[in-house]
Amino acid sequence: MIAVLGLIVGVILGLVLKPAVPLWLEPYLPIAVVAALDAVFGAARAWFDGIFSDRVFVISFVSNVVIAALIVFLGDKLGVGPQLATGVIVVLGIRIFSNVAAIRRHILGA
Amino acid sequence: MSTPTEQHDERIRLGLLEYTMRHAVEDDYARVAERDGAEPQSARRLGTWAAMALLLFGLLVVVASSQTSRTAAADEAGRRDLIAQINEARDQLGARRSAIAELTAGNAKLQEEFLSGNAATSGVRSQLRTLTLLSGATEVTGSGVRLTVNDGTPTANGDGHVLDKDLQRVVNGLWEAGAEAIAINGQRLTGRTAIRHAGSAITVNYTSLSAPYVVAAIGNPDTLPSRFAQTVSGASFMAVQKHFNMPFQIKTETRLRLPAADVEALRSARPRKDGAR
Repeated sequence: MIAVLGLIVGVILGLVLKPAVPLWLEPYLPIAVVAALDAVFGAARAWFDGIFSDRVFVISFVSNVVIAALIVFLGDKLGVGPQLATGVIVVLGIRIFSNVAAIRRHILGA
Repeated sequence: MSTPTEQHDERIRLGLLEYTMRHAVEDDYARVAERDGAEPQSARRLGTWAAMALLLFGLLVVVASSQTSRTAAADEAGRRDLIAQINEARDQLGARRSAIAELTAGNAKLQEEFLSGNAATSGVRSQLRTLTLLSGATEVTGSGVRLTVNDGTPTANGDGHVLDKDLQRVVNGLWEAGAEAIAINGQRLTGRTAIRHAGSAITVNYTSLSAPYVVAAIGNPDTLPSRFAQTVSGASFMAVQKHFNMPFQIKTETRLRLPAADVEALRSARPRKDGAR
């Protein structure tokens, strides 16, 4: 319950405040979102598996977002930003898919 | 849960993609659950911190999507702005071009009126006419020949395309044979014309032409063709034409009309002070 509440409050805050993203942060936002998505689906799967832990979720969420953005940032500095971003998206995408598949198995029993 | 060495072995055995798929969920969840020995029920409770993280997640998603749509809107606006600027500049260019044409016509008319006014200037007028005729600055009509050449068939020596060299030979042969004015595909040749290759196209007066090439030359139609064939340039062109089997025809015309060249003003060249010709 509190989780859904947090999500809703976050969405509403974003809609109401419409915070302006500083220009230097703009390219890393989509990657950060994908990384966050991975952490959230990972947490959901852990929850269904019955091994969810608050602390692990928060840490993995923050570290995922920061590291993904950092990798792309580093790539930009080295001139391989788009390639590294693609790599990050591929790995996170695979993780998201297999986590969603596990969640589906839990919910539908198939 | 597996120990670090086992994990390492597994990573080597499975390969990166397979390993990523199997360990999609953070291993830490299992490790912490094992260490704390928590019952599954308590593990299903989400704390404040998790809620905070989810709040952050929702915020992140909304901000990213709104930012993306905002950027797209800005890009679209910029694109429209650029298109509008281009159209505006194009209209302006058109207007200026027609203004130039108008002014040039007015200039010519005024010149004509001024020079035909009295006897003292009539000499200047006839000299001006000769010069514009010679320099290619005015349209000319007269009898002459029309020469058409097209790309030939490839042989061992080349692919048979008409080259700038071939057109140069044609033109040089025609001048030598007594042509008085020449145009290639409507591009009048002047003293400042270059016939050359730019990429795969031949350019004359820096305008790209494409085959077939029509060379119109004003001159005596009775002597031009035969004298052309006798000149060195003409003969060497005919040899090339025969070798590559280029479609070629030369026709006499009783009335040819060659356009004026866009003669640019001379900015650096000046006539000699003593007026010698």
